[in-house]
Amino acid sequence: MMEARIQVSYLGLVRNVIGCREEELEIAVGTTVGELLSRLAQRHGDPFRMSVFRESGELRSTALVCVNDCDITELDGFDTRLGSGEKISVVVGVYPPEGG
Amino acid sequence: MIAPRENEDVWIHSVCDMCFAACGILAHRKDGVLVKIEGDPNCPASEGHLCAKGQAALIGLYDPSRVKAPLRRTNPQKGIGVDPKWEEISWETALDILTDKLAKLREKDPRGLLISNFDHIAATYFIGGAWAVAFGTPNHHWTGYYCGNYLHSSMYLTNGSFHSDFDLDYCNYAILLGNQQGFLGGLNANVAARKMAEARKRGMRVVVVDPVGTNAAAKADEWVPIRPGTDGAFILSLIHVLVNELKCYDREFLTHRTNAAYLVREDGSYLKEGRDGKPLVWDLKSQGAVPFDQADIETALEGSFVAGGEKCQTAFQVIKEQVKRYTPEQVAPITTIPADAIRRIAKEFGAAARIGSTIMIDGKPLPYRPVAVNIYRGAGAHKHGTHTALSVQMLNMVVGAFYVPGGHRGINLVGPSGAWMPGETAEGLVTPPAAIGRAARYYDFEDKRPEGMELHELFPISTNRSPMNQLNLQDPKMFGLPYTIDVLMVCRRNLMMNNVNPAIMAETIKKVPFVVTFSTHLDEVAELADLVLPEAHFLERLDFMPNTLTHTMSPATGHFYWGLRQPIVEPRGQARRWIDVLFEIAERMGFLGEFYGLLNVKWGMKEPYKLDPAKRYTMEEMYDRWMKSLFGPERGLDWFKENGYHKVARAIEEKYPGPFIKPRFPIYFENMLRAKKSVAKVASEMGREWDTEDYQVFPEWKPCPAYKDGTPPYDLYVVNFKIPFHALSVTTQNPWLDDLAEHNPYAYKILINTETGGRKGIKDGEEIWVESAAGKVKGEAKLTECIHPEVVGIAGVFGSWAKGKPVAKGKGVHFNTLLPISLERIDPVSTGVDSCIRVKVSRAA
Repeated sequence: MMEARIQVSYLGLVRNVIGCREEELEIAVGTTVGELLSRLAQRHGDPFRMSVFRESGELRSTALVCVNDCDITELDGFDTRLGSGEKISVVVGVYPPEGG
Repeated sequence: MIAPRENEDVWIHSVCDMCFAACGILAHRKDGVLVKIEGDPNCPASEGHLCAKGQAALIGLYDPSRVKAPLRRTNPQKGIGVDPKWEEISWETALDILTDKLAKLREKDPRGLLISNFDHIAATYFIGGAWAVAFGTPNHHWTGYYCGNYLHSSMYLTNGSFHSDFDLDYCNYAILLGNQQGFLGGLNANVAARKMAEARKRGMRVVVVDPVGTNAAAKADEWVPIRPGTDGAFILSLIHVLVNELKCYDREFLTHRTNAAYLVREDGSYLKEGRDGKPLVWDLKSQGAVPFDQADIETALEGSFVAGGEKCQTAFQVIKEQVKRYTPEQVAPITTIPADAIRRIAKEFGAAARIGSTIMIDGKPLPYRPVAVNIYRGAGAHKHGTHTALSVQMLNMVVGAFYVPGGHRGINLVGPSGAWMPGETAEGLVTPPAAIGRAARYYDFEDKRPEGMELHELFPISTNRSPMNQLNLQDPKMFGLPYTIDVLMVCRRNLMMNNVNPAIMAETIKKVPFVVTFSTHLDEVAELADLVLPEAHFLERLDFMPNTLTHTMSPATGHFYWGLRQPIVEPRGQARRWIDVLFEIAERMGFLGEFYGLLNVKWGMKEPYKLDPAKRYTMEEMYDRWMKSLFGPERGLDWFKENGYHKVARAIEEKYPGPFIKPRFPIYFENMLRAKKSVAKVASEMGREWDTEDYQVFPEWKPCPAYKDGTPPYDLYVVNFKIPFHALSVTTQNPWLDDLAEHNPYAYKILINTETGGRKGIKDGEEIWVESAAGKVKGEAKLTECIHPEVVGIAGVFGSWAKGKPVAKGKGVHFNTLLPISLERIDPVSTGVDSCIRVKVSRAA
């Protein structure tokens, strides 16, 4: 299986709770975003899990996951496949910015 | 760089910023000096027209009292009237100070930064939000309380968009409830005013329901003075008359386009197919309960049934029964509107709705419901404001006037060329498109302890929870957040003028160790700041999309459009735009690349225009990329500078999406039951008793706390109202608008009913005190018939006291001085501040 190196960066509140700004990881080419997030949850434990996911396993409304600066909801969601050199951002703190 | 040229004489496209309507303007510059501002005929929102505020912007640009350089406070003492003893410093020093504070805070806990930002909900407002996320704070929208807090969430819930609007092209009968849409108030004010004038010419009837005889009331066919805070009772009574007395309701719409036919149990929850299945309806053909979306059924709109051994009835049956409590006779003493007037208005409204009729537009037959009730801040700025707004939406739905010609509508539920579409819940109900209200999840709650100052999880059906910022600042122990605010950054916002009583506000702001404000003037916030940064005037700014499709663009224009506010002159002194400074701070602190990444996501940037984190861009370069990413290489910044607007005419499905979309609109709010449980659980985890009573499936009228406060001598209510030539507090320093206000009989006065004033021995023109439990104000009495006898009226956001605003200082009366703040005085659903206040009035002499 082909290995790929990806860069994962953490922004917003998730960075505060896991104490990590960014990291490089090796994954198998074709790994999905969902599989990567599971791995990150194992790696960073409950603080990550509780910050990013709901109990049901969905993303929290305040969480955003992007591949190469594109929201995964615009791609294939958790099924989005990853290749080498891709940049994944996990962002928490995107509260409804509704002014007025 | 704008270099003045000799004998230069040019007209430049730009966009006004004197209110959130953001009308297109043409600015006439001669020899480097702005000499005239007119409406831009190419702008769909202004169509070449411009109100007094926009035209007067010119004089504000050249206001000699503007802040021209960064200032550092040298007096550690803070308070209203305390001289900060400013020291002028360089931008370099100012940015060193600010960056040092922010870097230390980010290291300690980035959540300790609170940002107050508004920017008229333009694109820059959202850039500010992205900056906050990159910094690491969830606390970035303390916008003050001058807002439709309750309104936005109620609209998201019912029409799937941010605003309330109605179709002036076809409407024949409008009830304006505490708002002046079409009379230079509200969305796209200029185009709405023109369309309102045309509608009146063709015979449209306007009924204004308001305690004050406002600008709109003065021009309406009928002004209905109402006791403050009772609008919900009035609306529910109209519904009662329509559905129970006149049997006038849109069966087709209610049955097939709402959840009115869904079967509900005795506890209010839906009867579902299995535990988590689809809601059921009663099929008259099979005489059984079937999923709401099953084909080939004859759905019952009314009635009580037994399904699976369980008693149930349709949601509409519940509504019909519930509104029976609001007969005109019962509501008249609450609202002071005579019962026969309520009954007549209901009858007129029902008849004008022309239920069952259709109209052919662009070759397509559409339901034709030319009536609407429109609501904004006035009617809902009360303890139970959410209930009032939901009642209004029920009324619009009862007659089927929802996203069809002539009726109520939200804004841009469907994006240009299908760029976005509404979402749909498992129950088949509409949710906001992700592009508009990504996190407005009103059916799906997260029982999580709040982390932000706004306590979002305690108010899951809300959009903006500004008052919670204040309550948390006042008493950090109140909700036990694990951090406190160390830095308050105020970006073009006057928290002192636009919030509650200034003494309370000053004590609140003083609790923050470091306050920085981006201000054009040494205003009331600057007086309490540690650092003042000179903010650019809007005529010196570069802003793409000052009118956002998602939040502030009415379909009334007939277009989707994208505009550019471009600088007409160089900034005065050392003024800079706050958003430019935030980019510089991000670079100094080392998170500019991450900020760019978030903007790539926020702006939906496509290759090759994505911002490269390794590079540095000017604002012009970033906007140029954003524009080209949206419209292709031909429509970059230069094109926008030359042409002002890119616009696309709306297709019929984009003007009136109701008949073309699948999701239904909720008239019965079963999700409130789930919200109630979630809020109770979150509150319990926080160890708090919490009021969840307002999470109800059916809106009710409930009295504001002010009703209990009415013991003598606090025998009157005070309300605030808008005049068309001022917006927020920022326009008060404009000398031309001040001149208009001086000549207006109401702007700077305290309105009191002639008979009421006479009874109290008050003469027209004499000085009076108005005093609430929170504070007191003095001003000139204006005796008038144009106000409810139980009410005192104070206009605008006047009564400035800052020395740095010499035109505004001491002019008019500051309404907000009378406002207290507490958990008991906010809407428990939306957090909107209750501005229904009892006062006593006395002669000052």
